[in-house]
Amino acid sequence: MYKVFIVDDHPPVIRVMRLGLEAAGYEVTTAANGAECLAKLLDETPDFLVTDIDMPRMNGRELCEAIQQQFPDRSYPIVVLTSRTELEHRDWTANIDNLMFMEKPVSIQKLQKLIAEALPAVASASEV
Amino acid sequence: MLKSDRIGLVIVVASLVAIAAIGYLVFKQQHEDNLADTRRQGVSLVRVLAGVPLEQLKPGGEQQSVLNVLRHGANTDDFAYLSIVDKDGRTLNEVTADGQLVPPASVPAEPSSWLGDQIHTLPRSGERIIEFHAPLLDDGELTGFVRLGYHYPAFGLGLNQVPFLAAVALPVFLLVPLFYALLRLEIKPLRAASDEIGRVLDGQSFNRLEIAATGELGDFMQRFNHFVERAGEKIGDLERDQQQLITSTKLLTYRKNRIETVLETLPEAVLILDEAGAITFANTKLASMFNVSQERILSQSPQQWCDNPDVLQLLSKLNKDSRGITFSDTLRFNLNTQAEQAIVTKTYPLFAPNKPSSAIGTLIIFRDETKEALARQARSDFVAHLSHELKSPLNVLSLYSETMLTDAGRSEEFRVEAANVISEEVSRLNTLITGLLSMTQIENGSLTPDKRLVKLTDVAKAAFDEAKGLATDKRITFKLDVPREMNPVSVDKDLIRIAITNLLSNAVKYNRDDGTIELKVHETDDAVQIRVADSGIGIDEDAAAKIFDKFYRADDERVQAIGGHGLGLALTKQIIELHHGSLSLDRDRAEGTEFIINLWKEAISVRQAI
Repeated sequence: MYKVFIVDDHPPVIRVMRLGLEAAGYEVTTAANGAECLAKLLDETPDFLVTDIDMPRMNGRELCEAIQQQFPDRSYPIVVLTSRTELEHRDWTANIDNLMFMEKPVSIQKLQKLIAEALPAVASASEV
Repeated sequence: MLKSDRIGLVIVVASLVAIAAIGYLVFKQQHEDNLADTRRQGVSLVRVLAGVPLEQLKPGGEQQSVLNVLRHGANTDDFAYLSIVDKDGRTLNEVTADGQLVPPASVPAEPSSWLGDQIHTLPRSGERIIEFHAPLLDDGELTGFVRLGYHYPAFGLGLNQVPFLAAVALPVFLLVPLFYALLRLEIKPLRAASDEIGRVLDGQSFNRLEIAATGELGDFMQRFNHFVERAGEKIGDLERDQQQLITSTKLLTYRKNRIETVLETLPEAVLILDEAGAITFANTKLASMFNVSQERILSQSPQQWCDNPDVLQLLSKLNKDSRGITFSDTLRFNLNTQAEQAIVTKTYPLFAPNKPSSAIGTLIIFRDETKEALARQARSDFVAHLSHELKSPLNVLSLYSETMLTDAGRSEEFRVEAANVISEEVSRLNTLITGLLSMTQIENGSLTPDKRLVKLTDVAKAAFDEAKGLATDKRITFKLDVPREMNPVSVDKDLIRIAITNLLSNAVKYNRDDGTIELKVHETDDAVQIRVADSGIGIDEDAAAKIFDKFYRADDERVQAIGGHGLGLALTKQIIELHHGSLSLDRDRAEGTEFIINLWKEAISVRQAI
């Protein structure tokens, strides 16, 4: 069972996304901000990471940069949930590998599809 | 006049000198003639007497009468004396002119000088006597001497010479004025020329001179006329040229001044380079932008007054191409003098107005777009914040509604949760949109406060009660301190209530558990003051400067952890300012936060309660 890490400071968002992804057969780990996520990444490595941008303590951008620096061998994809559509706000992503954006409002189905495409084995496993 | 007089004077003096010279020569000749006559007469007479024996010449001798004749005869004017002396010089006989002294005899020793003459100068009178002497011989034996003395002829003017002199002087005196008159007549054209030049020099026009003269002077006068006419034409040309030059210089100065005034008046900093890239003009705004004097910009190389590499690169680029640059360029850079300054440079080639193909220089405009850049940034930030604030609740609504349609969302428990979350997010969106609308209305002036006389204590109490309902789970102690009686004030009670509610709701949100909130309303001399104090997390120095900015949320996790749009304080401040009041932060608190609203009595027309 693949593990999806959800990082968001809104508890309702965490709850509903966990519900949707667990129903799709993923194991879900959560964190309320970047700092908490980074701490948990030391113990466990997810297969997919979903993070919000605007969060206290450490925001999504800082989290991505920290992951890039601390885990250069990372293989799992990261999806950043953003409400900012302007391209200029995405300049910082140039140095970060394997990073995608998903614009708010987020659809659970679309997120599931994105994860399924990134992790085809799981998709086939859930179908089995 | 002086010149011609001098000529006259010279002529008179010259004629006098001529007369004097002629007179001198005449007198000299006459004197020499007289001397020769005297000599001839003396020598011949003394020879005659030398032939007479001495005895006859002694007093009482036969020839005594001859001697007396000599004394009274002709040439009496010149005759001085006749003396017969023996061979030792002793006087034997003597006849003299009346009162004439006879100098002592000096007997010549040598026979060769027995016959001769000598000149005596008489003592006292200094009279000169020419004496002729001859030996008296008796059979070849010297017996004595005859001494015949004449007055030495005087060198002077005799009366008899006056007619001669007059005959010489008269023609000279008659000729001099004639010559002078002729000379004056001859130089008359020159005089006329001189007068004419004087008139021309006095600024009058030149009148061609009538040529009365002939020969060389005539040629000269003709050429003089020609020369003065040519000179007059040349001077006229020069004066016209000078006038044109003055006019065009004035015009140029006026144009230059006008252009420089325009360039000075421009809101932008301006630099003008010639076709070789040298700086020829810089306005005062450029000088103050680079914090140097205009003189330094014009006189020194750019490296000496500018340390911005972008500007130096631009200037050197224009400097290299001496044929002039034909491009427009935009360059953005920050000057080191001020932080976060955005200067935009635009370069325009300058072409000669009537010859568009030849570049005569470059105009560089430095535009300080710091304000525009800040405004752009603020607008961009605002839109970003707004989209975040709007999309976050939408995101939650979307996630819940989508999940409710799936199997995972069908449980009763989830539906209750979803209903609560949706209600919360809708309320959140509503607050945001209402706040935005109010703020927009206040900002563009379309919201007119509905001012009525109200009791501020009632408004405060209503807001206070509403806030108490928000904070049930934090066990906060609420204190209300309002005066029992208060004069009504003229305010928009709904807006003031929103303002107080915003402050109270912040006080609740950022308070700790078991904290306190105090709402105090009281009157000072010039204001009605509303104070909202809490025991919450407080506001640090950095945040204090920005808390009234739209969408500002302190970079503090305790703040970030609490929901909010960052619009409440901005809106509250706008509402208070709409009432010409002030909203400020009490900075001296050790713990928590205290906001102070001052509604100035002048602005809210406090009236005595009826």
